[in-house]
Amino acid sequence: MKTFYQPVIALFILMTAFGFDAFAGSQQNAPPKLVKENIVEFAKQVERFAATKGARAFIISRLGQAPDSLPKGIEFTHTAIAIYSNITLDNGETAKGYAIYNLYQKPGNADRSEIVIDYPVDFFWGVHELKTGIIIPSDELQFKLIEAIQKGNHEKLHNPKYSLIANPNNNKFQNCTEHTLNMINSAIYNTTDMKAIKSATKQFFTPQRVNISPIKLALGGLFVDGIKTSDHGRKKYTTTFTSIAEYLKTYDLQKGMHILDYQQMKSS
Amino acid sequence: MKNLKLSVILVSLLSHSAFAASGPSDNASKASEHSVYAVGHSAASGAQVASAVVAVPLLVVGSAAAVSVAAGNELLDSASKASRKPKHCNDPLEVSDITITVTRNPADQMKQK
Repeated sequence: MKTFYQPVIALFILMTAFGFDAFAGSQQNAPPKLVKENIVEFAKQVERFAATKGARAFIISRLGQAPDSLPKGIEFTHTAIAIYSNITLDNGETAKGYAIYNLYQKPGNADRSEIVIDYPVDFFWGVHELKTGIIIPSDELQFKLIEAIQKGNHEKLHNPKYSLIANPNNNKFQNCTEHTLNMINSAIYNTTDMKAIKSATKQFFTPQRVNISPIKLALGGLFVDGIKTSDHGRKKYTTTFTSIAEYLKTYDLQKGMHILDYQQMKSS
Repeated sequence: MKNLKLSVILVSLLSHSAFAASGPSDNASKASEHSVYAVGHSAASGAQVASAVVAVPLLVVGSAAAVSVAAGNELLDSASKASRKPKHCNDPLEVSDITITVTRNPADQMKQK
């Protein structure tokens, strides 16, 4: 009996020692029950903020789990592109607002993803905290992002093989943030050629080092869908909202980066 | 047999305690049991909710006039030629007060063929 339980106890110690819980959520980081009315209000606040800035295309992010559970350097858990649009409603009327172009994991199959267009309230539904980071690109880049969306590049650049920590320097796997980066480089370089996009990424984009213990990553990769490491070398790097913001800032391709918080917006 | 039991326990532990909760790229509104429409129906909210059928990107080229790119590449090309740089990108844009969602209420869903 003692022999049987020893490995299990040892594993518990390993998991604790290496912070095994601190990635992609766990029962300890279950989302709090946010007031749904507040989500609706926050989504509209974010839309109005972007509209006030005249943003026709912007990068939007959300926080799907507790900030203190995220690896160092990762501020948000999901990133996508919002496009100012004329939206036809089911009653036949039209309304102006933002449509969001997302790469989401497929329900029930974390290894695969799909491209989904949704709207701010859908985007923030189920978040851990009513907080977002938005990047407003330069006018020219906004224009080119809209062109890229209109040409269907978001579908052309989609690789459905999902990994939470996909390496942006190759196209073996893809996550939401890498897809956003691919769209940005597709717009900048007027191409959907993945080789050209990855060449630009390698030369000019600085990804975020993933600071998670190798043991944790190895165990996660073995047992859990949606986490792969075969696209990496010894050190793991991935795309983050913050690294995209730095990229656009470095090359003077952003007008501003803003962190919006429900409580702060409500009180201001 | 002992090894088999141990493997089952380890897999179970890893699957349920570490990475198994909702992923960062989950489609939250699809997974949620709570509809945006329920918020719209609450007296406290006052939010008007409507389902989107289609969204068409809007450009502004050359002047303050918004150009829909729904008509396809031809229109986009002509818009692009008119001015490579969109103007008035600092001007505030109009946003509807309606809360727009991908969720469909049952009546609208039934109308779908």
